[in-house]
Amino acid sequence: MIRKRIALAMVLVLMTLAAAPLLASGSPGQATATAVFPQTPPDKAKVETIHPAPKNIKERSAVYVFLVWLWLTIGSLIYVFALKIREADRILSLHYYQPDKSPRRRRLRL
Amino acid sequence: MKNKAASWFEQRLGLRAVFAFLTKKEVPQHKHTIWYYTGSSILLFLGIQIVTGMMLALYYKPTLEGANASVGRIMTQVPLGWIVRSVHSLSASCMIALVMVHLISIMLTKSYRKPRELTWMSGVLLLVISMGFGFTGYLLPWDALSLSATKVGTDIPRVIPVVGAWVSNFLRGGEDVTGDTLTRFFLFHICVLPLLVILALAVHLYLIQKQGISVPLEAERDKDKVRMLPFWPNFVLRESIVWLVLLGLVVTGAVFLAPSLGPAADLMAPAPQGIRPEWYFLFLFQTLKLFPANVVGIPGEALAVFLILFVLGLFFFLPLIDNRPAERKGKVITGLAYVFLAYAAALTVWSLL
Repeated sequence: MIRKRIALAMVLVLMTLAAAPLLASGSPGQATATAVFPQTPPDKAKVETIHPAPKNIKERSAVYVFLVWLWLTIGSLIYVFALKIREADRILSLHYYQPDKSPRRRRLRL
Repeated sequence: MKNKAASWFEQRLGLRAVFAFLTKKEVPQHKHTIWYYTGSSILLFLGIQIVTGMMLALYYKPTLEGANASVGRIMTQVPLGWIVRSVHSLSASCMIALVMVHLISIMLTKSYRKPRELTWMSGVLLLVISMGFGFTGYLLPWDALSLSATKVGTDIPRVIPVVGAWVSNFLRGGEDVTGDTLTRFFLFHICVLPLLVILALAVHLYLIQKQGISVPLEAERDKDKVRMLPFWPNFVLRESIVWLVLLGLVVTGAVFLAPSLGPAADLMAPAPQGIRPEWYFLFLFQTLKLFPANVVGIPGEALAVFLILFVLGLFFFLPLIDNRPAERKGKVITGLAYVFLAYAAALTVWSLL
């Protein structure tokens, strides 16, 4: 139970932390916009292919931080779900919801 | 207060029966159980498609002048727009790939057998609709490549006698691909196809609930030995892990494999080099290219189109064609499935080279 609470707390902290770097550095889309539009004349912009990769180190960092946060959150949630699966499987193996098939009940009958 | 609210909703919605059904629902456990996750993961990608599609539709303009520019704006000016577009594009590919994998797994495990014929047919229909989404969505950025690919794609029905020209004109909204085609494709993409997918999916899911989840032939022979896993919470929790991993992979892939946007299409310009459809159409595209101009007096392209339609028909009616008793279902269909897979993979690679 304690481990579960720790994991849930970790998820909450990670989710809160996620907003900080993105807000601080601006969104990647905005950074791309400022990187592309002021430097390119409108006529030229029409004929150029737009490559959506991060344009500067600030934007690149924000995207990487977002990805790290995403995978940490996913990892934490997987850990919580794995604990829950173990618990659910244990309850299933004990036939908790089918008392007639429960090994303990069978032993008592004997 | 909480109980009162629950009781209020229960009296009106009767959700207790749904929860009771979910707690009783079971999923068979055997060595092929992994394939069950492909079916439910398709729903994840469909959900991502709907959410990101709505976000893109807020800024997209389906007009000749505005289409390419609005996609450019989404990619450069709208906050996180390029990631949203990239997630939409990548999850579409993932959804079609998973629908294909799901159908092939059903084919190999012979799970289409009686009484699940209609479940299979609705599944094939869902694949066709998904590919329709891909085809109509490909034109929407309105760059040179998407325009040329759509010209080639909408020209193909013309080889079909009697109705071919009508189908082509209906898709294009005239003799040629123009701004009208763009408007039509946008309408198909956000209105007609979603309605069809909801209908087909509702039928598909209803049939799965009615017939129950099938087990492979070999597992069915020892049915008593098959362990059953409760859908809630045991299977749902496992599925949640799969969904989380897939979500992470799609977002990561969307950042590193974001699609670029070419310059706006010019209706008068010649077709650019290297016209190519999306990866899931490549083997069909290569098949069309393989046929000679004339085969015994019949135009090669027409023959190829008929062959493709014939194979699609066989695929759709597979449960009715392979209707032998379960114990006699042999290796012919499995062999054909592998041959088809090898053919599709080889032609896709060939087309990419």
